[in-house]
Amino acid sequence: MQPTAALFITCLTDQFYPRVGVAVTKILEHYGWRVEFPEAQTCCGQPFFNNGFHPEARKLAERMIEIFEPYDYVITPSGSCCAMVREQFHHLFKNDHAWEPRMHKVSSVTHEFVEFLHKVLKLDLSAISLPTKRRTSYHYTCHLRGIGLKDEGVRLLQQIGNVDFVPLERTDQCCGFGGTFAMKYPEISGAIVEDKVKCIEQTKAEALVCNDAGCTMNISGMCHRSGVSTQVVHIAELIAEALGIDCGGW
Amino acid sequence: MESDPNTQHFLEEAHASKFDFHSVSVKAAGDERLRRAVNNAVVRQDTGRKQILSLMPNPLDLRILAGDIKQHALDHLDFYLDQVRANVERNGGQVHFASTAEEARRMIVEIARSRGLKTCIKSKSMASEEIELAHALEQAGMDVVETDLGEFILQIDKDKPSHIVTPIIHKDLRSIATLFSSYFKTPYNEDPKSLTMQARVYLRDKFRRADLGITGGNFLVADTGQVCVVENEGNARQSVTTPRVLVSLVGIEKIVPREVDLSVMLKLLARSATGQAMTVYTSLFGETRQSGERDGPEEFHLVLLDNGRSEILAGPYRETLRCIRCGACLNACPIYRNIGGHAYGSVYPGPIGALITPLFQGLGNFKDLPQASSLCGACYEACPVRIDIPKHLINLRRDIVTQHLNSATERAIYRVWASGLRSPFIYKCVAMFQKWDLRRRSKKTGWVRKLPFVGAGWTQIRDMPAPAAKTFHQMWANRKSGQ
Amino acid sequence: MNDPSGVMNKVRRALGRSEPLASAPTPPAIEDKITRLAFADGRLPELFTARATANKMHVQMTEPTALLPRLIALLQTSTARRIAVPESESLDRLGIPAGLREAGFEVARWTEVTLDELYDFDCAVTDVYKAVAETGSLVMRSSPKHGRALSLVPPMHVAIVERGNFLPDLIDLFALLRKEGNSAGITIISGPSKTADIELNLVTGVHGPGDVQVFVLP
Repeated sequence: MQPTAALFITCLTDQFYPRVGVAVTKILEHYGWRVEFPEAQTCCGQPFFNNGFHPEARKLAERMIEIFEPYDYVITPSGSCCAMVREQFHHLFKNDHAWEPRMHKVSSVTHEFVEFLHKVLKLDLSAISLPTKRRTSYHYTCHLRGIGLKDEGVRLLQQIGNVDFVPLERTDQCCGFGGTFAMKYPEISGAIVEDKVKCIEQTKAEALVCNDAGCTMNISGMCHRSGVSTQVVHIAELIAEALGIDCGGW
Repeated sequence: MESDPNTQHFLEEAHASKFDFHSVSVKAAGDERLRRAVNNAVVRQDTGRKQILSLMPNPLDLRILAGDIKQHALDHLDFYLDQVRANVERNGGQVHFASTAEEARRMIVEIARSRGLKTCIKSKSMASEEIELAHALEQAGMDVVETDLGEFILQIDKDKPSHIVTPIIHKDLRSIATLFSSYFKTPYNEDPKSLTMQARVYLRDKFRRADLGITGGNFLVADTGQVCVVENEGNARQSVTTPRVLVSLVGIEKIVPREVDLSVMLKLLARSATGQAMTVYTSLFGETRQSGERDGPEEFHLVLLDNGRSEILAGPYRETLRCIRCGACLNACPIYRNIGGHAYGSVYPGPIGALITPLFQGLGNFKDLPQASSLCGACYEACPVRIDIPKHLINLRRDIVTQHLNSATERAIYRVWASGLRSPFIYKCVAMFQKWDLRRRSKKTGWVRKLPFVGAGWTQIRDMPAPAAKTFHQMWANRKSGQ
Repeated sequence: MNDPSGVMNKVRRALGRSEPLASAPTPPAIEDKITRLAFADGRLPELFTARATANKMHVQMTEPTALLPRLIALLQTSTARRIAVPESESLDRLGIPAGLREAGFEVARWTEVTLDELYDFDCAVTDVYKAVAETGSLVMRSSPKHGRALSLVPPMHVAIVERGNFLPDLIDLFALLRKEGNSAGITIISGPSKTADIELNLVTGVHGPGDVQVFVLP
């Protein structure tokens, strides 16, 4: 029987980078998986949890559990939302005997996209290649810390043929997004993203791989404002390109 | 960077708190020289920490063990405090419990006054900064000198430390050279070695003449009643060698149960702080001068400081008392790197400061500190005793909400937003509106240059990408109907 | 005990207790495999030399017969003239105080000088209580015969370390201190006194010795 995964798209990817969702879907299908998209999904509750609105976050988390509990695999292209489900849900449902087992079930099967490629599909991407050589760098998104990933993402990237990899200085320093933090403390967030873009500029990379929609909005927005031409992309987009997959539509 | 008029409503809230974090941090983030100085210092220390820890066979297990030891000490603090007291007294010392900063100052001033002590040499102690001890002793007529070079510079410049471990990273060489020239009335000299030697000669004279020595304590060993102090310069050693009366001011949370616990803590402290395996000197003391000895204190007083620690111990933030004041979280923090330590408005800056400053001094007075974080987790990853700083920051934010410390408007906005998200229909409507609005504002360029209301903060600094023509929900629905 | 505001009671209540604990709690076990970084079967003098050198101490492995001439040569090339030594059976056995006097240095024993006079001495030559190989450290222990100030006040410190002084790891040092008692001042010295407070420029010899020389006897 064909293995099936449910796609948890996350609100930012849904609205700003749906091509990443298309890429993830088509890549999984390419490797023999069936992808389902539970259309009732909206938000995992992360902005509310992070800002201290825990009853509100809990209601959204319950909804998310109800929607995704039928599945054996849940995949998301965003590290921060994955960390919310894998780690923070435990705080929201502590000592709730009715909900805890259901929460554990969903939490334990939720994977971030790179994690899924590495741990479940066990992919070796050296078999695929970009059409032409491309100078590429990598930003380590902060929430990978929360789900225990270290250099899996950058190693997978380096496997792809024609990726001319250049390391990013201070790759694991936060980009300054932090959700509502960027709106509430714009000068501090601005100083942090300024640091990040300075390092990106030094790499002279054509592409920067960044596997989180929030970071991508933040970094690409700053690059565009500063006149830095590096394109910020999700690794799913590069893999899709190497596989000859069109992410613009079906 | 000038603040956009549209962020005024956040500033209005900031003015309601005792400390105006917004204004100070905006100024700091715009100070290029400060950012450069702080970044140079702390990135070097953070990189050093990562490199030296990677040479250990089991750094994570060692940090877990260190955290467990500190947590155990906290969970049984009554037992270990009593053990410390008994052992210090057995060694001939005296123990004083200070409930507040004011009580601690009073106790130490009284010790000095009753023994007719005149000259005090003081080594680095964050607890003494917390209670503003030097000022109290000066007011009581004592000649007090800070002997750690960085603290000495701060004292004569009437400045405050900006980092727990390396206190003057915000100061540049030229300003120090100017300071020394005017303080010592000597010709201007920019050579760091000459400046250091100038301070050395001045302080060495104080060491010889001092009758009161004051130290802090990195650790307090319960089963021996000893204080453990680590340093690189030698001034703390001088404080426990020459003066006839020694006072050590130590927070009650600094206890470790056994002397052998130091073999765990000392392997992590200097590595986490500055990337070196050991500080130059590690001293264990608490004994008084034996008959026949010619140095060491005749009297030893241990002043144990509560000042809010027992309240934290009682509550859900007990874990924050594990802190061994290594500064690793400061060095790793992107916020600290870009605003420096003074912007936190308290003696304890950085991620740990964002927790304990509101806990010590009132959440209402410092409500910005837990919120001015991107929750990146670098601090938790750096902490040698594994304090889950992001979790506690989020819980303080929860306390801000439940205690109504943020505006009613903000609470209402979040609640309406959250209930909207429980309905896929409302979610899609809002997404559609947002798409229409932002794509309109982007004027077909794909980028929005100016957003209204709460979004103004974003576009003050950077562009906002316009949403895609179709959401993924819409694309999926099209795919299904196309089959 | 001076506890006017009842801090001890506050702490007890904060932990949810009204009575003191009936028995001593058990702290977490310290496992060698997590904590130990050096082992007894390692080559301790060599490990110590490597680590102490990295700590910017000057270390020489020396045969006992060559010790005194090398020490004299070292001191003659320095500016040291007035030298303080502890009352030490091992230093006497090695003939150091007498040998240095014969070579023309002014040598005073700790028991013969005041603490204040020590500030005008150039160098202290001492034995050590222990040496920790893994950290490259000297361990000093205060006593009436060996003051805390000796290895601190004069700007140069020469330490004589014999094989029997070596311990592999800090774990072993603290285990030993537990057995031998703790009513003395202990200092673990891992390099020359230093600071980098002034714009990260490293300066040595701040308030402790800037020149630390170690002779290791096999």
